[in-house]
Amino acid sequence: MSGDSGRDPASDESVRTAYLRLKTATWDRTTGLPAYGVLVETLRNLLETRRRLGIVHVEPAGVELVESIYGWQVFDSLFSGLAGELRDAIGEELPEDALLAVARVPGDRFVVFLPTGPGGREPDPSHLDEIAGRVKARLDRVVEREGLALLGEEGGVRVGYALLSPNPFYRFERRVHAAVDEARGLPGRRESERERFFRAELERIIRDESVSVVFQPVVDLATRSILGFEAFSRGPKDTVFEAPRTMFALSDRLGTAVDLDRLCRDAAFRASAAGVGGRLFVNVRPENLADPRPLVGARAGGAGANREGLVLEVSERALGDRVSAVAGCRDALRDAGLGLAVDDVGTGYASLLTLERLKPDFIKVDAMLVRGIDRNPIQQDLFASLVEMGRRIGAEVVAVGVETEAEAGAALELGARYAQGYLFAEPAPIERFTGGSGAAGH
Amino acid sequence: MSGGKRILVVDDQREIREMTETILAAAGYRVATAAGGTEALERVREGPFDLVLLDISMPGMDGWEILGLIRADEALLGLRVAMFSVKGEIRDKMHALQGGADDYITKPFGVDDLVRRVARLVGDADGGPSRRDAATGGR
Repeated sequence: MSGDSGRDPASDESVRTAYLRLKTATWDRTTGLPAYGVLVETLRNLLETRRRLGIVHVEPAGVELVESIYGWQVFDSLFSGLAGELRDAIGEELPEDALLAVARVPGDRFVVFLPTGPGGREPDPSHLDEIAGRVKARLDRVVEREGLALLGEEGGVRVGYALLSPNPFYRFERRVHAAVDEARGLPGRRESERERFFRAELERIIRDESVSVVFQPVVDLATRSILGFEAFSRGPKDTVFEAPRTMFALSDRLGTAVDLDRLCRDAAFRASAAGVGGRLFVNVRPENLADPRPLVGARAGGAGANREGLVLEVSERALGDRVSAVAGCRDALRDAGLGLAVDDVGTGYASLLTLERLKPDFIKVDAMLVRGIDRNPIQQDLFASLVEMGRRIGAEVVAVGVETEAEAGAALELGARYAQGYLFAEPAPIERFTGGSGAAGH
Repeated sequence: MSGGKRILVVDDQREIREMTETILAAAGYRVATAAGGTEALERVREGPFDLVLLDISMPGMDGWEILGLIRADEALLGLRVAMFSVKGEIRDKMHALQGGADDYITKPFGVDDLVRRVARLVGDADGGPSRRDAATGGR
């Protein structure tokens, strides 16, 4: 007790603190559900009087994809929506005595234990298969309602099942883990079929050049005049590729990103040749920046984009370990008269150091930090540090995803000069903006 | 304006605790202090507080862990927590956002800035106290 050093932290820990420590490790805050490991004793007791239990495993398809496209808040909110729906399904698709849990903490998939089958009998595979199908249909509607194109046609959630029966030869806990793994693995084969389908679709899109380009104005927050436009490439309508972020995230994962990127860039140049005023922001992969010659050529008229003020946008999320490579071609870009913007800034992937090394002309702050910024002091703080960094390196800040006047006001007050978002205009074909829109021309 | 709202200042450095206490008391708040995690958790449970200012770097239980324990406790539902740190890195602020903190105050702070931020935090809590009262009343 004499002094802090050498004191055993556990010795003065209250029972309540010890309990909460266990709780934070075993309990999912987003959904209020326990990790299934907590239920092992309950399951053991249930199996004293029955021969087997049903397990249904529910996994939103492509968790890391959703998180990388929309950010963790959106995944958390989807996940908690799914938990609510599973709770409601008890007594309907799921039996009254079903036990809900998450696989781990923080939660990203669910495990449901079913002590009884139809009519109080034991659960059996055909019954589980039917339950899995109905649960999937119900949860897919939640995904759809949230407006998330998870993974297309078969998307939504993956639901698998297995039976858990004890075997005294094995340690019971390991039997539980193995059965949960088995339930999880069941829909896996269908998943790879889906990946093959997506790969073929992407290859077809690249071959047929079936992307269309829409434009969204970048607006001066104080004067509301238009600085220029960001070009977005969309895949074919009514497919999962229509949302640009989903198309690029999938293409990233399936290894066609660089080709798709070139295609989209050229399409943006062609579409913009129809003539919008001001600067043109075009998204490029860091890999495609390494050799800026085609871009310079395009600017000189090769692809019809003989225009001033081309700004190449790279995503902070895509930069990864390519910061040095991009920094290395910074001078070449500048000499060629090309601007550089870093997009998706503030999502926690890169530090201020990255910005300092790249010295972009524009820092585009991610919508995740902008949405609701008028009400959240931490977001305001993060935003202000990005503005401060911008001042230091001579970059203008663009607030992305502005939907309300309150957000626009907060961004302006915090020192951002520009913004884009639905408040001003949604992305639309170029014709929408060429009818004397008051764009700052050249 | 402060209406005798109660604030708990958690920091392992005595000078910081005393300075913060002096500033906030002068602004009309009722201030309690704690030097570490265990003491802080005991204090918030005795509560009720309107706001906890929580230092991140402390020996033993650090501020992130205390935040996690507060957020796991139904009895403390709606309690406002501002992290309090010399680290002003973006990743620390993102961590605060994900961990459920309400604000992030970087040390050293100006007196006016601290008072303004605290006022905003406890002012926002209007409507919050009833939730918390309901929760603590159930203990």
